[in-house]
Amino acid sequence: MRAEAVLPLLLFAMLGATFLPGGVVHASQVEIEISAPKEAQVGREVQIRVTLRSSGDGVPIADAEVTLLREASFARVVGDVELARAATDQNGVAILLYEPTVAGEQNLKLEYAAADGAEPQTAALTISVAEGPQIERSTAGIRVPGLNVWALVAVLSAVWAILFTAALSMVRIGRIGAEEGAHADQTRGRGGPAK
Amino acid sequence: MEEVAAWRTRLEGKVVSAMTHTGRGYLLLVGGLLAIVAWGVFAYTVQLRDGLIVTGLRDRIMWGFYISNFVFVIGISYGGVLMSAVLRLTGAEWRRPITRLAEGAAVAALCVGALFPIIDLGRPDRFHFLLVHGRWQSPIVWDVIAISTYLVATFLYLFLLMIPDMALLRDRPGQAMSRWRRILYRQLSFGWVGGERQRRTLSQAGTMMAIAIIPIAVTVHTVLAWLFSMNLRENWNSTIFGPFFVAGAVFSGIATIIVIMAVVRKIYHLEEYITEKHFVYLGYLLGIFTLVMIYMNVAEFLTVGYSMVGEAPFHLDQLFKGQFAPLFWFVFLGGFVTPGLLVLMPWTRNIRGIVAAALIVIVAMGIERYYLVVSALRVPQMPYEPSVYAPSWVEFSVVIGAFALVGLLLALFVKVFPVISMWEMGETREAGNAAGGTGR
Amino acid sequence: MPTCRSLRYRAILARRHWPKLEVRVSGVQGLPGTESSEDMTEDDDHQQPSPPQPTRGTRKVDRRGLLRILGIGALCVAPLPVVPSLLRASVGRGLVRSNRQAARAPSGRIRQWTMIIDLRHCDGCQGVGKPPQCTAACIEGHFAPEPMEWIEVFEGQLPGGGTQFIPTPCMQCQNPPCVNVCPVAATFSTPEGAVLIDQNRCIGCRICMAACPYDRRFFNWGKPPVPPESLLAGYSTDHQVPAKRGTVMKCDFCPDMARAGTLPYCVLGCPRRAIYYGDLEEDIATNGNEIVAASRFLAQNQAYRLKEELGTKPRLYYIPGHGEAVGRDSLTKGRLPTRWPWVERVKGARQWKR
Repeated sequence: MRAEAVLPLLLFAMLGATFLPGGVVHASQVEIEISAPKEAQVGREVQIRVTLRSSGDGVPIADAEVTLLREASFARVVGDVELARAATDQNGVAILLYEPTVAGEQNLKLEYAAADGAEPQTAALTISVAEGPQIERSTAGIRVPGLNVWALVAVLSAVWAILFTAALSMVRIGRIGAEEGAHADQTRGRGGPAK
Repeated sequence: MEEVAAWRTRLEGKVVSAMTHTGRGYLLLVGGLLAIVAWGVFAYTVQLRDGLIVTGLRDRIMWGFYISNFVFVIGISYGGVLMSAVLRLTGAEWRRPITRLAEGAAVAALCVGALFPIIDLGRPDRFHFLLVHGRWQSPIVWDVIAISTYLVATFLYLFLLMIPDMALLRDRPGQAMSRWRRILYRQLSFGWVGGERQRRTLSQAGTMMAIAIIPIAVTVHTVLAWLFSMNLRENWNSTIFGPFFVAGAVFSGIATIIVIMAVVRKIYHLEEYITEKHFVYLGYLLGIFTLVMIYMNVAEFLTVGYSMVGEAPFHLDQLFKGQFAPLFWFVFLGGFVTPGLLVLMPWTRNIRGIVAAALIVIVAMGIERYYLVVSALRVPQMPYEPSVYAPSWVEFSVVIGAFALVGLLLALFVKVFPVISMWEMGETREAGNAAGGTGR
Repeated sequence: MPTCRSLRYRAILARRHWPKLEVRVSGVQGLPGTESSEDMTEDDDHQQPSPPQPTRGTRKVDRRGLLRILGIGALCVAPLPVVPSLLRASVGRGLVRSNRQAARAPSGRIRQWTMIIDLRHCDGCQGVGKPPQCTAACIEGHFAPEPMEWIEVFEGQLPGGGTQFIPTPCMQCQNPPCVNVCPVAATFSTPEGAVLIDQNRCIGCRICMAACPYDRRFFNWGKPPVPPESLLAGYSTDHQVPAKRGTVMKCDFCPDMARAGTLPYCVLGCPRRAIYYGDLEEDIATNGNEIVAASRFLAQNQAYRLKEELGTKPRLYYIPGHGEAVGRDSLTKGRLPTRWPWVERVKGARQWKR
């Protein structure tokens, strides 16, 4: 949550606590029960189960918003990044799902407010995230099924083979010409019929 | 047979005199073309020195006059393919006097057309990267492969079918042939003696090449179209682009053949061999293709305009009513409808009318390629004002120089090689005469 | 009517000058492949006039043969230059330059850069009274030649009326049309998801500029201004200085700075802190002040991408707005034009307009 938003809420909560009758839960009376795995892996979904109860009578708190944050830094900017958000059901249970994207010891924070206007509280938890395979990939490139370089090579080879054959036939004509010319010379030399 | 021999001698005489007799008019023409080519080369050196900033191209309209004329010049080479290959395979006998000229024009156009992408490059010194570092997934590399294959195929086809004529010229007696000609003809005749085996080899090779060159040619222009349609631009990213370009190429190719035929016929007095019938038949082909072009355009614009998705309103507005409207309507009405009418009406279905129609078609197809490239690039991709493009003097000079180079190559071709395929002509004549004469 | 015999005689006479022709009976093929038996007899009775060449001996045949071999050789060699690239492609090196190291997080996983622009906080620097500062910072930081705005602030019309300012750097698409069409792999996709340009490879064909649907690529039409200090930088595809004439440039998500853990110029330059830069792999983003989980930030704020229907899959997200969080009224139009102050101190460069 933003720093600027907390102060008015705090004031309102204090005011509300002073003037409103009982039934409003005091902020410090919320109990939180967190059920989260100790270990996780990058790219695998993690489920964190949060139960909110009022600390006095253990009554589950419904419709309270729970936010999961993590300490992050990127390009020399540090801050809390919101990872998931959920509201508690009638049993006071909220399930937060998120996919870790950074490996190592993740310092997570759970922010929850008992009711609208109540002062938000935080609870910390740590999950050890193991490294995982690459999640996102660059998908550039033409992918047309069946279009590959071998199809092109096949077509080109066929065409050039035809051209090559035509060129060879010119060679053959030359060769035949030489043969028949030589043959004609021979017969003429033998005194064949004159023209 | 006396008649046949005399006819042959006359044909041979005309063709050889076209090669050996160099009049003043020819020298003036070649000189003029050389001057224009030199001016184009000078303009290109200005571009090499200062960079592409000397053109009118800028970041938003980055392809213009060079690329549109690239497509145009490659397109006019299609006349050769059509004449030689398609008509040969369908057995149209009337093609015989014009195949050589058509093939020669195709080779000339291809050689010059292949220069345009290099002229358009920002770093022509890195042109060889296309071969060394080429990516086979890129439309430009497909284009390089296709055009070089097509160039080799057209050369092969031309020189294969010239072998008997080369032999004829090699054996021709007389001092009219200079020494270098004799050497050239001897080499290019590949020892042709006219024996049965050689004839069979030539026939097989010729048929095989004729069959092969048609898909090669169609592929070349389809790949050229894919240079545009593989991009996500309004009006370019259309599935019809491949066939659209091929149809347009055949259309402009036929028109070019008509014009070249008329010019060569006039200059070298070949009226006996290239008759009005040839013009009329080519005119019919031209007429059929005007219908094809109208069909393609209607199919394209009706589909786009019916739903008006994306930037279609802007594009159709600039094309039909806005900046490009004069160009578009000239092409549609002047380039498609008018030649169709000229061919349709009997009193314009003569040599003059058909040559006029062909000239209009050539100009119109050049303009069509231009607005196809530029108008699509003018459509704004983000919220900014649409840009303005006009070719600069450098672009005009280089392109006109390139056209002059095509003319120059053709003029040289006519001087070095027989402009009519004499052996193919002789076959028809002999068969016709023999059938008529002896009743065999 | 001449008799058959004299016909034959004349045919042979004619054949002297036309050695390849024969009296055709029928056939539609271009060449006589069909021959009558009569011609065969004639061949035996009267020798064909032989061409003079073979009588001169074997020397002529050798020269002819040599030319033929040269011609066929040229034909064989012509397609060869394409073969190396075809082979390379079949081996499957892919689009990424192998000599470039990917930027990695401390964990060792590859960063997946992303940028989120919160349009609720962007007013085109109207309230600041200056030209858009993200653009100004990028120009100064990268020495972007005039008139290139690698991050450009467009003013778009909102469907319901009013305008919004849209700072537009390169989208760094995951299906980049520019990379797909580049013939020489001068523009390439990195493992971090960014799209870079190799100034030493670009041939200036500009098909990438035709392909980009966001108008984010710029060409050095003339000799670009080059700041003297940029010549001291070693060549790397991670920074685009010094600029070269005839090549393409664009926003590159400042890979050299991101790798070092600094934020890009535009992020740091924005006075409203409207631009967030982050890593999707670590799921984190920051605008220099705040730090957020990127995926949640996007999901909770109806993030969208430009021209989603084109399937380019940009890495750049926008959060809808028109500057309302910094007090802009959406009907207040206009922003100040961009300037390139650093260019004035470099002499000898050409200027051009977009």
